Amino acid sequence: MITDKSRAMPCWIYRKQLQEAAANSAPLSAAARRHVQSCACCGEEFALQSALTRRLVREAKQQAEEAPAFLASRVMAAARASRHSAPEPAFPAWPRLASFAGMAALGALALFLTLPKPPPLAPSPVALQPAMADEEIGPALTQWAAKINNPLQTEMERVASDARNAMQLLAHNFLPARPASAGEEGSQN
Amino acid sequence: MNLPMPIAFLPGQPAPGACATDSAVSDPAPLSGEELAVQAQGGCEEAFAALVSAYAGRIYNFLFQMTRNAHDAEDLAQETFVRAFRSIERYDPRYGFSTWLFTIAKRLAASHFRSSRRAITEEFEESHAPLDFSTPSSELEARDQASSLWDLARTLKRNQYEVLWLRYGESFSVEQTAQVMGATQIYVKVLLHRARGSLGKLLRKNGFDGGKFEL
Repeated sequence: MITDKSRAMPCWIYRKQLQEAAANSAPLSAAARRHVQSCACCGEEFALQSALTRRLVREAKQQAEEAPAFLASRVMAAARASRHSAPEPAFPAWPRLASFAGMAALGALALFLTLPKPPPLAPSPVALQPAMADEEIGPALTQWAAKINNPLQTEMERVASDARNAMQLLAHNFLPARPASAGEEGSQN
Repeated sequence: MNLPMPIAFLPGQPAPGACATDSAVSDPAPLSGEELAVQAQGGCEEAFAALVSAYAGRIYNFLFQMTRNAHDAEDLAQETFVRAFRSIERYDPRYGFSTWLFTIAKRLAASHFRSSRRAITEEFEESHAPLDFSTPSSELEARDQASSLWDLARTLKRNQYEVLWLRYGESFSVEQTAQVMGATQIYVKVLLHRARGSLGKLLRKNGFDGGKFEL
């Protein structure tokens, strides 16, 4: 009959504590010790893990390899020889390079965000041109180059063209129809 | 054998370009590795020589366990101390000197494996014949031939073997092991748990129940 509270608790409550105690050769709490004594499964696992830890430590000492007697003098000779050479960086260079690159990218981004943006360009009407013959390409190119070389004049021509088109549209829609029949009637008379 | 141990060396305050121990002979209390490192930072070559004497054996043994090759371990141990000598100014005395030194050694061992692509060499003496884990079949054979727990541990993944050796072979704490491995303590705990679990499985498979690996 289970009378102790710790015995009634499921194993998973103690599992982490048992694992850490076995791995670090640490003492168990009273409750965990009672559980290990009452639970055969946890007791067996705890004994196995504890024995594994003890054996790892014990056999590590048996594995120890003696250093050669001349190692210390050899090391000091090499250290003295390296005194006048360039110092080695304690850390590899790439983290520093990466941090510099990251800072430069952040600076460029901040500069880009703080600079005033230029006003958006007005969309210019693009007329689809039919395919030109080879002999027409030369004059067309000359005309296009002239437009590029004189952008103000080109823009003024476009404004004037747009104004003419607007006036024609207004006249067509709102002005009364021209009395075209008057001339025709006069000629008939 | 693993915690910062006092080293038989005369104490004193570090002075740039000179060993403070030259004038302080009245107090025979040995200096720790951290104190000697501070003196070495001040230019005291004798202090660094004392550090070499104190830690050469441990560093060599650690590198030997990582490489299983005496010549590689010697070369890497020498390179470890040379690097430590050249960058001793960067050592922070708030942290353990052994941890700092093992960090250099561990990085050198890792780069050694990256460059040579071999964990075990052919020239090793027959008496210390390493286990060949280069192929799955040879790995199984090596596990069959393993005569000790650490032979079996060497068949685990490299980082699992390293964390086991640092924790139990060098008796570093979890925190120190994490510093040497350049990882978090959580990572080291997880790695230790997995390594121990894998080792337990191998033990059972290799005759833990009454076999040669009976604990």
